[in-house]
Amino acid sequence: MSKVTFKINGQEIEADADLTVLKAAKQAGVDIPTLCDHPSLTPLGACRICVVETKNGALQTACTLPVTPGLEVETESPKVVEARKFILNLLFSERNHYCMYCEVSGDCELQNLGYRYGIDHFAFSPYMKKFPTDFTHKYIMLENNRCVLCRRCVRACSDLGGHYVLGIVNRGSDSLLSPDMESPLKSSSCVSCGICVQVCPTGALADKLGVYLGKTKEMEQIRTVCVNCGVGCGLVAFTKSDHVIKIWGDWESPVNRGILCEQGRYSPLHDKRKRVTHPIIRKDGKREVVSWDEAIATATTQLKSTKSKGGLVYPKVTNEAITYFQKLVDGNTAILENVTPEALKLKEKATLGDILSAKAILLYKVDPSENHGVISSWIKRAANSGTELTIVGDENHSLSFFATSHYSPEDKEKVVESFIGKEGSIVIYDPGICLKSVNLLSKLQGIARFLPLFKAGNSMGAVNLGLNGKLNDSEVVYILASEYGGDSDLLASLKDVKFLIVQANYLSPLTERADLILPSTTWIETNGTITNMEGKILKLTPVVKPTAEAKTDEEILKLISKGL
Amino acid sequence: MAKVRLASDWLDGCAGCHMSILDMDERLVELILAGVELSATPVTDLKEPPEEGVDIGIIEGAVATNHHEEVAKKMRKRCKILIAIGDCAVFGGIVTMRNYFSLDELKRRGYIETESTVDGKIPTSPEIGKLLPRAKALNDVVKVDAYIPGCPPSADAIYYALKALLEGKSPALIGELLKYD
Repeated sequence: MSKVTFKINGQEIEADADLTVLKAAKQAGVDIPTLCDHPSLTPLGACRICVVETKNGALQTACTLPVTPGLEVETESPKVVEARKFILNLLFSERNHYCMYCEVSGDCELQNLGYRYGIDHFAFSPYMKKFPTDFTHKYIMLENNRCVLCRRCVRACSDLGGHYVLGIVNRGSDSLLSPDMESPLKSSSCVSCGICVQVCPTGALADKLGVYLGKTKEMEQIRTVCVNCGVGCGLVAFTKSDHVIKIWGDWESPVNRGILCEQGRYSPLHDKRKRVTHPIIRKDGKREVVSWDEAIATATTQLKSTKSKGGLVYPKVTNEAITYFQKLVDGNTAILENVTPEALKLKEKATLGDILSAKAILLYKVDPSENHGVISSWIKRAANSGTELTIVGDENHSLSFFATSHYSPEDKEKVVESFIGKEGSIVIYDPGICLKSVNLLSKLQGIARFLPLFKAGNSMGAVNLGLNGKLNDSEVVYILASEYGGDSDLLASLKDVKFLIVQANYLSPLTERADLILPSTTWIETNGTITNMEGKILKLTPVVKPTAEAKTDEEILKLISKGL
Repeated sequence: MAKVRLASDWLDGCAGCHMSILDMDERLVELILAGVELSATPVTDLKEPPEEGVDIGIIEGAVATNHHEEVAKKMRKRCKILIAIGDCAVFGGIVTMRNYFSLDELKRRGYIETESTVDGKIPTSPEIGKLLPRAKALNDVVKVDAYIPGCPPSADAIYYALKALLEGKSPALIGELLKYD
């Protein structure tokens, strides 16, 4: 990259030629205030707060002004400060910006700018027009009276999420943030990814659940990884007094770069399932709460005395737990996810980043919108920027709108032909596909790279650790269920099991069937690592303390293996 | 030292800002020893600023009725430096929430539809000030010389501003003292 030399506040600075003054200033440690700008979004220059004065006295927005040789800017000259105060006064007068009853007071970027520039009264009486509010959405509330029309949410929804739900209707001071051209949020095409809330600088968009529960500086921020699907998005949990108040996507995460889906951002906060709180043993048909010592002793005795033991893993548990577990059941283990071993042999493997740079994308019998919202976002973004998207699946596929071609599963043979010559493509497929499909897709080897869309956070890790076989018939079965509740097939297959140990987060049909229930921690309470679908090892950090007597899978397995 | 006479009053507010004045605690004594004389204030229970005038006038609360307008104008006339104290006087504050409703809606909600009200009626006594169409900040009605925002402003902020005035400096709040909530 060629370099450009220019001056900020008299100081000579060398910067990459493709930078804006704002970015170059940031690199040089010069602070220029911003409101509509966001490091992850395309610059817009809507709010004008970042104005700087150039040599000839013109005011230019630093966020959109490119660096040029010989450019000289002042970032806090009297003219600049006066302009910023004027802009702030205009912003404050436009809507209801009374902080004392606002949810984000203390975290608000407009408020902070008011403090920074000593706005101790309004130069103009506020407009006092009542703008609509929208509290229809399950998680998000939209308060237009607090909006500064910075359009961060609009850009995040389109450029980061690929959803294009939010937009602006009307003109001038009556401009309104509006989902799907004046539809209520609830009935709009919103997919509840919540990125709009994460980027909102004021109280215009807020999470319903965490509302009025405190300021960010009163909360602890803990980074961990979501295990709700195989993507492994980095997230930041904001906690207070051992409660999760809100969850943000981790901007620093190389996996998701800030965005999340409903599963990652909201499901941990809205989980209403009943936890397993204590170890429970079934004695003479009755369930009885017992001590950990008794529970561990029972498990040890059962595992020791049996001739055949086996283990099943629902792969939302850590690599460390799986490693212990395999030793415990002599390697007679299987994974509770439909995985075809041959399907994983398709080469080369793709990374998540390949979705955005692929020449063409084939979605083979998967709908990422169902459980892999972030992947769905990237596919939408890729499709919007011109990448060909081919879908093999039902007509009502959620990404049909973005597809360049759509084949029904019966016509799948034709797809392979259509991909000949499209080197640099990517195939996203269900790892549980049938052998016939595997053979078909194998013809694309060399043309495309492959991304198996695993359902759980550590499916890849479990497969890598060898949990890909079939369970041999066993007298004692031990299930590392984490949050899995079992289905009728699983329950039927356990009919002849003499002693069933279930290590689980929640009460479910599976724990109902168990002879011994061991309470395990959920992923937000757990320490360890998982391996995401592209093979990255990611670190889980406990965000809150374990519920009641729950212990991590690893801890429980360690205790049991001590007695063996 | 020459006396600096100070009067204060409240309009459409909650008295929280006056609580913050009292919250200066021993610093109130310090200000009095430095020459501040508390003239008419809600604390001293004198109803209005003396005709001969005061040096500093402090007003809390938004201007919401014609009575408030009169009080604000009288204070302006009788003081040299007028300070708006608290978010209501400075910005209009929480009482401007009512600006989003019509006066009829407002009175009905306040006097009749309140959950705890039985057989309520809207008072009509001539003693009661008439509601203005909109609650306003003090500087929408009279010229204001200094502002101490906050809901309520901290005792520290009030002390800082008064001390600055006594020392002939700008009472404008800086740093952590400037708060909107």
